[in-house]
Amino acid sequence: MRRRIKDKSISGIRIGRGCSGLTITELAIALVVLVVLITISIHIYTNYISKARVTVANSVLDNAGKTLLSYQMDKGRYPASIDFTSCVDDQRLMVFAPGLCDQMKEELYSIESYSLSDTSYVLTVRARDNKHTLLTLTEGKITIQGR
Amino acid sequence: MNIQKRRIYYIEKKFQTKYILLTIFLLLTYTFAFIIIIFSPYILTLSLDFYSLSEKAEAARTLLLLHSKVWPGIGGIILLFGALSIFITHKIAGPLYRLKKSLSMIVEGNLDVKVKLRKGDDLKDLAEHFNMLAEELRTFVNTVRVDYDLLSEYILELEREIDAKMLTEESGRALIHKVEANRKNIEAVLEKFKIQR
Repeated sequence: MRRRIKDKSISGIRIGRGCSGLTITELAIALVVLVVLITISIHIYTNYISKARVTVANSVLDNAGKTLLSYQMDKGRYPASIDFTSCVDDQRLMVFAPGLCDQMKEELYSIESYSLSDTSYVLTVRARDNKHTLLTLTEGKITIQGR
Repeated sequence: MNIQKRRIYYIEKKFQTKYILLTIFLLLTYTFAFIIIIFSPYILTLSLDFYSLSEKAEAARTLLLLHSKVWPGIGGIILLFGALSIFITHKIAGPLYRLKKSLSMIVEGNLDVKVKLRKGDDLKDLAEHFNMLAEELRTFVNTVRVDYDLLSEYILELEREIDAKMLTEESGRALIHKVEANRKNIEAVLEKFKIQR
């Protein structure tokens, strides 16, 4: 880098002003490269965070499916309706254990619907990711929106 | 040189900007490496299909927990060290600024310079060496000046004696001895300095 010449001594020797070693420009370039790298990484990272939230919702829904299956084996039918605030059915019988009930409230963005047909049920929930991905559980099979 | 209490922490802008940028660069690099090391096992578990849903869910929960806990801490650390770097570089930039100013004064011919640093400032050793150099230069100039005054006096004395036609061999030799003594003084002082001719 060219140095700006400003000072002059009594003997006539010119004194250059400037920083040796790494220059600000070089450092700024390195910083810009790093910031670009970090921006790309943040994009990848946020995708994984979203994926993690969907995976958690998937796992909660999987446990709910297993619980509903054991309910069906126990009672010979699926619950006609579920009150998801207390996790009980229309006859005030416990459907989901308190631990799972809390997990559903904390780890899911919303429980959209629960419906029962003659032989099967459909439970629809939304994950806590940015897109609030829709997950549908039908007879132990989970379908994730957009996959 | 008077010591003024430095209230401005951004003295040598170019120097300090460089080291603040360097600190931020290093902090970002460390953070980047730290995040990769901390998060990659969980991200790998999430990405690879041979893990079961329960294993993936456990990794996802840990990842989300880390995500909520790690970032405020890292943000705080980056801000703290970014701000600290201004104070740290100031401890070096302040003395450097003083030394540079004092050197400029010496270059301009002003030898009545003494660098006094504040408590806690860095580069005190360098400042002491600088003060020693200034003291040596002052002594040199003073010696040369005293001998210059004496030599001027001898020249006047010689002129007076020649004008009055009173110059004898004896007084002439006495003056030569005095001039010789001054020459030796100057020679002794000059011997300290080594320059290629």
